[in-house]
Amino acid sequence: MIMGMDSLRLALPDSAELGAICDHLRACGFRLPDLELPGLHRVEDPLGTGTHFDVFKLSPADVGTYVEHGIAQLGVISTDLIREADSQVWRPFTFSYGHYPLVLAAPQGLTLDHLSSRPIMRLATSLPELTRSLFTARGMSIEVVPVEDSPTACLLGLADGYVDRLTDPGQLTAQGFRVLEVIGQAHLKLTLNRTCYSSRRSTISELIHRLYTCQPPEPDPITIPFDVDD
Amino acid sequence: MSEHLYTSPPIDRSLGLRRHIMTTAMHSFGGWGYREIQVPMLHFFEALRPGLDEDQIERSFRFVDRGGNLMILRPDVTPVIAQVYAVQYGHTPLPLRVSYTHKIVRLERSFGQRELESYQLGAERIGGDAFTGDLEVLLIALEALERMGLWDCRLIIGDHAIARSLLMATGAPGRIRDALRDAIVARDAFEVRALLERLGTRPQHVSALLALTRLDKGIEPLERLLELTEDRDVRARVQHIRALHGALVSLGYGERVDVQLSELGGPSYYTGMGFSVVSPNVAQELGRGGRYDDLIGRYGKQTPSVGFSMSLELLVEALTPRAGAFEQERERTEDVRVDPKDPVAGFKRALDLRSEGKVARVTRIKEERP
Repeated sequence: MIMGMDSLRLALPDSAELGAICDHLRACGFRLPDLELPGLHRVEDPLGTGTHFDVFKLSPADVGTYVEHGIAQLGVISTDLIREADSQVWRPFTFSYGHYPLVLAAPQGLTLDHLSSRPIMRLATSLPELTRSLFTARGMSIEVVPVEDSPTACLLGLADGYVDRLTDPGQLTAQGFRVLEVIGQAHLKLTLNRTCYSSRRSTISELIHRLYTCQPPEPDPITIPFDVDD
Repeated sequence: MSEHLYTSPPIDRSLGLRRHIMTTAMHSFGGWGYREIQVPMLHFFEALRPGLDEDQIERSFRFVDRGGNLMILRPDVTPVIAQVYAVQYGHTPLPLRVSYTHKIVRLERSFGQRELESYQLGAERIGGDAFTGDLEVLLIALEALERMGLWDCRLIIGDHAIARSLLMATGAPGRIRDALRDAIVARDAFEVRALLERLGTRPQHVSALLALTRLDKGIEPLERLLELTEDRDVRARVQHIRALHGALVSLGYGERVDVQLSELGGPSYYTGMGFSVVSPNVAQELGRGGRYDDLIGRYGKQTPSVGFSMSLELLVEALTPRAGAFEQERERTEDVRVDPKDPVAGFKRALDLRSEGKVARVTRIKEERP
């Protein structure tokens, strides 16, 4: 059920990008309070369209579900999580930040040939559905080990390699891993419930317009730590 | 999976509302000359399969009967009607107008993807002129929604043929076309551009497909596309949608319809104009419809057709905030006291109330104890 006819709910991910998203929204005219406090935070008519916003933060993986089921009309979520949950939402705006490569990583010294030569490749990941579909599309049979901390699972022998967003190449190398392959990209999106645009057109269009206008410059792309031999 | 998932609750507090919706819709459909049709629930899978896409098959409920045949419970009414028409009613004069309120069995997308049974109510216009047919079903959908009390619902109109032509023109392989279509449905211009740039698609094709993702108002998406494409088929489709929109505006429905060329959801049998029904009170589309010109041809003689269906469960959800009106109707119920020694007088009063269209609830006068 879609709530609050004179206001829109905006769900933000409690992730590393939350600060950048809040700064971006403030540049668009949102007087955002401290989101560390729990609950809904009312922002009075930030776009001058007569619509208030109730902003709240959520676990990043939950944002798609809230938007799809109309509890929040708008949300910010990364495309890897959208694909993981197969969230049926619109994605009308892409943020200039929050872009990460999705990589297949393995302990240094191992190659893709090493992994492929095993009877079955066992991959740890916090994105089991996405990983399965990416490898199935290539005709590769893998066993997915669903865990939150995939590098640890790999280090302790639960899996041969792992699939994850690459956010910090230095940390990956320091932990003794290398990237075998970039298998996709994750982008941060403003998402929209499928049925709310027609009745909230002016506010949503204005929000998207301002997000474009106040878009910060794109950060430098992440350097992929392939092995020197590659 | 627990047992209760396979059965509907025997007593549902929304039953009165469901009955009201079904009656109102069927009355609207009948008012436009659509006759009610009954089609079977159970089918031979291979016989029905030509009209079902992969997603519908995946969500369907199939089993082997005692004779070893693979059977399917209907997951969608439109392909069943297409098959029944092709096999049994091919000789009838066209257009043939049919309507229905039927149960379907399929995995519905919900929190747990475990809902199995739901009702579709809809109307199908088989054969006849495309423009008149398209306009007729759009108007019937609007009238039915109004009569149910859903004045704030809107129809979002798109065109499947436009997107299909533009996607084919890119020369992209099928898998990429599917990804592009998904990105267009999600209004994701960034993803569309990224996929096309990876393919090295020509700029005019990129611009035309990007135009489909835009969230504009009125017929702006159509005007924009006309500026971007010389494709004769696409331009003809754009003119068709523009004429439909113009007719709806002239008939007073301008505020109730939007044109969005990214409106490409629903089964893959849609071939031309397509639309969804949205309500500000419900997070999912209440219904969907469109032109399916080659569906009947998969079972028999090609017969261009158009129709729509709506989910009874979602209509109930859309109307629930207004259910107070139905409660008031219940309050207009009049109690009639009947004396067991002289029941005629009491029941005469009840009959009078019924003839006035009121609700009579008969109660027995308690006999005095000796």
